[in-house]
Amino acid sequence: MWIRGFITIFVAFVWWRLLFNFRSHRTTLGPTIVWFILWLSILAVFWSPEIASRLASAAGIGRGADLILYVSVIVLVYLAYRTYARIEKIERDITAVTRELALYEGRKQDHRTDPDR
Amino acid sequence: MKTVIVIPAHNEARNIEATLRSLRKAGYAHIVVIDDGSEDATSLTARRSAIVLHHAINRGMGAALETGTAWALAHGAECIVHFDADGQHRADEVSRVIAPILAHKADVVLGSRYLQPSQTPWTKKYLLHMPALALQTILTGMHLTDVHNGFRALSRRAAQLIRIRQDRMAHASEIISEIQHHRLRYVEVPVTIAYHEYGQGFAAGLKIYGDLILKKILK
Repeated sequence: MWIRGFITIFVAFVWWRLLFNFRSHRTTLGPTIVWFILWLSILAVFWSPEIASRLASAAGIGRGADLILYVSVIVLVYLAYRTYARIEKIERDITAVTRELALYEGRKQDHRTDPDR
Repeated sequence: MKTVIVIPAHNEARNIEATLRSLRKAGYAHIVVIDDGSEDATSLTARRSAIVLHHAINRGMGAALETGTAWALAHGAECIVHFDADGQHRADEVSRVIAPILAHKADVVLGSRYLQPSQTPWTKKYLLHMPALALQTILTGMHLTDVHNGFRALSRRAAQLIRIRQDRMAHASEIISEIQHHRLRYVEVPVTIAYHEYGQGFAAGLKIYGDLILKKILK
């Protein structure tokens, strides 16, 4: 099946990017390992779909495809939450820097003019 | 008692001069304008008659108020007034808003457009303010007559305790929550709001509550 070959090449590319980002200190070890395992699981399911079927049976879900769908939705929602939380933190940091700059400029104005004006 | 007027302004070059003139005329000497990343001549115009702090990028009204409050506290303000730049508020009503603080009868004074006959469009009143007011009462347990009125005054103590973390319009609801959280003494006084064709629509109102709920979840 050509799709397995394609997925294998794609996962290899993702692993290479993960390794590259880790070695250039763009990411830390924890998230790198989590992503590595996640992509390894995807690869494993593509090469051996019965793994998903066995896990689905064990979890009381009918089909392996359903299990993959449920897990994917949960993971994606969690990632969306994490992304939102990260953006919120960046927004707060930008505000803090902007405020500090404004107050710094204000203090410079104080020195130039009467502060009690 | 040193009173500092804090005015957040974003692209208000057209209105800021008249707003500042009216405040000067009413006798207020300590005015700080926070130019919140304006692309017009707001800073330049305001600098003629007020201290101007410049946000290099637009961060929203809540963020600008917090910056102005920090500046006012650092400059010994004992009473801080939040005032709009666009001419919605009246300078001659500042004295009424600060009176309970000067008399040590309240820590926070909230302006209310509904304590006197109001020009508020009925769509805004019944479709936006009343549902928001009901939600605010449920969330905070405080029975107020107005919601999202930007005309308010804080004592020094209140300004030190209240932290505005909501950068955008949801700060108004956050301030109410902070009043309740810190058990501050508050009072509402009637104020006049002049209406323009712009302002917050229903969708903007929904966004405010979306922001508040999301920030609560992420806190």
